[in-house]
Amino acid sequence: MIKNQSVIRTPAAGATNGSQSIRDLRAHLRKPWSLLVGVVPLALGLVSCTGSISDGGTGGAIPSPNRAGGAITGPGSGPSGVATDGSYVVPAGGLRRLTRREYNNSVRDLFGDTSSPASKFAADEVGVTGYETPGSLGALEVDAFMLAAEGLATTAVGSLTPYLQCSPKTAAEEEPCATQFIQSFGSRVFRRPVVAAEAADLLALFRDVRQNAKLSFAESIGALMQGMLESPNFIYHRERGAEPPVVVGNLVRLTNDELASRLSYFIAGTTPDAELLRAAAARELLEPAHLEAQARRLAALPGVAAESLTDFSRQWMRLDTDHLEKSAQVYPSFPTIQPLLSAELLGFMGNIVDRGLPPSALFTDSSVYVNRASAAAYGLPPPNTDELTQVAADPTQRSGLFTQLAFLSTHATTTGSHPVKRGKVIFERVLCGIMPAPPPNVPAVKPAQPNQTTRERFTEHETNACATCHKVLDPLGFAFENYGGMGEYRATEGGKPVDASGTLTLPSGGQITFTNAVGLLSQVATTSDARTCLVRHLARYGTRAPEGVDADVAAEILRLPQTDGKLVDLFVSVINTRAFQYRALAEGELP
Amino acid sequence: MTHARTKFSRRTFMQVAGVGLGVIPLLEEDLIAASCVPGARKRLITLAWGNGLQRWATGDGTNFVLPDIMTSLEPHRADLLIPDGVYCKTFDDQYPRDTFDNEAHDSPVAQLLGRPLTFNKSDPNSKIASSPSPTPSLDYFIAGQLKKTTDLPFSVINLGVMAKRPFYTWQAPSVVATPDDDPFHAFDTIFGGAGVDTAALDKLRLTRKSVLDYVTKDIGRFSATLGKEDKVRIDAHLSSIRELENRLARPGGGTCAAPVLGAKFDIHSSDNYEKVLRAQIDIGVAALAAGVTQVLTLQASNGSGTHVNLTWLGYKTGTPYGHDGCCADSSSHHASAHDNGEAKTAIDRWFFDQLAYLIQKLKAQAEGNGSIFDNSVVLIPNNMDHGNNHKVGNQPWLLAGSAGGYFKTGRLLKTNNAPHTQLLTGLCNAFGVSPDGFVHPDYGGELPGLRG
Repeated sequence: MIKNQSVIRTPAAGATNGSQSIRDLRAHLRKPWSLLVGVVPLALGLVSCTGSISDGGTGGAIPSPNRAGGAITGPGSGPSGVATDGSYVVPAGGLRRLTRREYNNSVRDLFGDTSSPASKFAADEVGVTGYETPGSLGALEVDAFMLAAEGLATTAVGSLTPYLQCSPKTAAEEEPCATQFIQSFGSRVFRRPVVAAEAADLLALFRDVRQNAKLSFAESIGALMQGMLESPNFIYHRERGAEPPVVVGNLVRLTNDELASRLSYFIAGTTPDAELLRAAAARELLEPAHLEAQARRLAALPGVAAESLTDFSRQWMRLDTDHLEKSAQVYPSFPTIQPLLSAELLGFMGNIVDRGLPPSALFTDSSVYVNRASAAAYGLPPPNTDELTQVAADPTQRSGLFTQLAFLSTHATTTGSHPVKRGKVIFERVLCGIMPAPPPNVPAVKPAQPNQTTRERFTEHETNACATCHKVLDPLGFAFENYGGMGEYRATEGGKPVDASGTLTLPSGGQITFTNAVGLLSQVATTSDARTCLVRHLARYGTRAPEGVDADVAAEILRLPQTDGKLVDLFVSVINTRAFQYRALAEGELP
Repeated sequence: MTHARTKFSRRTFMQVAGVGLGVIPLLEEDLIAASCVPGARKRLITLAWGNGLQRWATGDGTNFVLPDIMTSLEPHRADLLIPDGVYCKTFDDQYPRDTFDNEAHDSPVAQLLGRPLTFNKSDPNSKIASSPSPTPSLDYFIAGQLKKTTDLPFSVINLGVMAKRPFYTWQAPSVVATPDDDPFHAFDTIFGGAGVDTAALDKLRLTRKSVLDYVTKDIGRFSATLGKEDKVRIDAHLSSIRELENRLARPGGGTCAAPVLGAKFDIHSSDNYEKVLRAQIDIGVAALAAGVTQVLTLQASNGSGTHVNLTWLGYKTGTPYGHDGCCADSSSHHASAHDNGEAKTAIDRWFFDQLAYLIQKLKAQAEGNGSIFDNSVVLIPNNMDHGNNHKVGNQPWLLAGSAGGYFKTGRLLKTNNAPHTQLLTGLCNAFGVSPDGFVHPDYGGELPGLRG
């Protein structure tokens, strides 16, 4: 992500404008990114001003995050959390560690390190929310986190200038310098001021390695970095410093420090920047106007909202483009296109954000990012460049996220399209329909007959025991039969014209009749089914609300005064919910 | 990769995770063919895969016939104890979707547990695949109990191939144990340190110890305010740190065998599936022989294998083949199970070939008057009956090895589809570990006939 992190980022990192992966993606994009790299120099050291924290802001009335005025209530209204007054059960915190993306982005901003060390970690657990929610560390992860910390520290020790404001000349100067480092850098790693007991233990670590392991001064600073990176205060989303939490019944209002981190990881996928840490230290964030201003500031930073919305889309649509395999016989060009798929998606989202398009653009915007290699798959003349370039695709053929190659090639087979996979993900994740799992003893698919289209192969679903579900899923999938297994457009299949027409029964009961995916998507975009479902998924992504509660959070979002209807505004509005700003106290938990 | 072994001194491979990558020097002076196991101890080895089996052994008692897929086990007939089927009742009792039987693909998480998952049956949103476990899995439970008297560097060595959830293993209540699916990393973790000079190694060990001391203190402070469930989770984090730290302080000694891994290869390609599993078996057996653990878990696949294409068996990606989930042309393990044809026969046979390889390796490691196999039991669980029916009854589980004479092997045992928890109870008993607290009383009692 291109983001102004110059304050927090070390001077050494100043030349770095994003994580390895995103930077690589950006390298493919001609615009609009090139104009957006800005650096606003601010003073270092703001975050260590622990002495300036005032007690103002936590006393008195607790402002309701819901500007529509819903009451704050605790849990206890039943398993789905619905209560008659529109309140709901705020999810308990639960121990949640940084995802691999959050880890990579955080160490990028802390160290200027773009090696994405967490990409070697085991895959993040996908919890009941359907979004990445890794919990506690097991033995394998403890080992992996240790090795990553050692690697980062070893690199950093090579040049400590960015991290230290002191350079001890004598033995007596070492500990004061280490103490200063513990406060300044520790507060960034822990995302809140280091408290006295922690500082004392870190200083003891410094002494220990300096004296017993005979490390040099610089290496001992490196050991402190390791300690901080292996600390639960870095690894887990729980920023409990000196700030006393406010308890309301069985709910805990997130503190300024916690809000800063939650906001930053939601909007920007990374550790809070200096301005956010300053606002937390000044205890401004319990004030809704300040919190929202910070959120909008982050979302407006170059590339930030686009990258987070891309991450959301990846999880929402279960995209896993890096691990796709396609038949070399059927799709010989796929290895060239595969590395571009996530960058294409980033470009698509960037365009929606930059133009301030509404959520419906996810269903209707026909702009695509292509280069010389990938244009053909979109039926476009190849531009004379290897960089991804924004092109308006034929609006009768491409219509939003679900006609992007990333989506179509993920939900396909190695050799062709897959109507059921596409129908299922649209039905369940775009329309929030509920589909039971397939029964056991599913019969084998009959081998393809010559001159049989994909749609014709599936006709047996209409008559056998599978029809109950497939009469819903299959027509929805058939709508995408104009796209092959790589997402390439086709008007015919095996010499026969593609039949992509059908009728969809919405989960809410209405019907949509369409002739192809473009017609389907333009109509779906206007339904309350799709609108509400998108908001539910944003709520799950942003607050880790489980299914059920997500509907309540979505209702709260939809009750908020709507701004000018941009997708990015909808995204930001998740922060104005109780589920975002509060957590329930778990059994035995101290506030 | 070669599978040749060399001998080298344990003092040259301090148990320092992540150190000493790459070349392991041959230390000629240490080529002493002596056992490095300080004393014979029982070992629990689990070799898990999924998707059920096409065919199973028939007969009764000593009079049994192995199906064609188990031909490679004929030389080890006398070492097998074959229940004719077990029933994962704990899972069945919890699963809410009565209309569709139950989804055995999700059930690895429940297979090595003695009680139902913490699963809210009344909540339609509760998903079993992401439900927390009430205890560790059998391997980690037994290891934890054994650790009270015999503190080895690794309570469990948990290795996998192209690891993907759901896993069979839980390190602690609610804490998934992720298998290490990189044999090169596993080697470094277990045997690392060779080839690194002593001074550098000492410095690294001291630094790690200091850092981990600090982290331990920090976790203590951090966990003070956590709720009950999170405390359990952070305790697992802490115990992993302690085990890591304890390994740093351990002196070497003795001489033992370690495998030699060849050049690196892509561990996430189905083409190399066999290479990875063989390497993991080699590493695991070497670790048992070296006495650094007595519990080895090998997860050769998860509960469906949708991500594993049978390319190494000649079923090429992209070949129109079988039924994946619903209707994909695929050569995946999962698709073969639904198709239930010759590819399934091939993959079933292949798994048993790997079991035969594991048994041979264990038998080749001398111990006392016999081999370490004599003191071992290999547990082979499975998450379903047939790959095409998603049922958790009549699961084809198998034991190989007597665990030092506890199990009476060379037999097929008529079980009448007994709960698998009764077999888990027998395994606890074989290790002198009380199943109390692990196996729920409603599901307990040792499966009759295990001891003959």
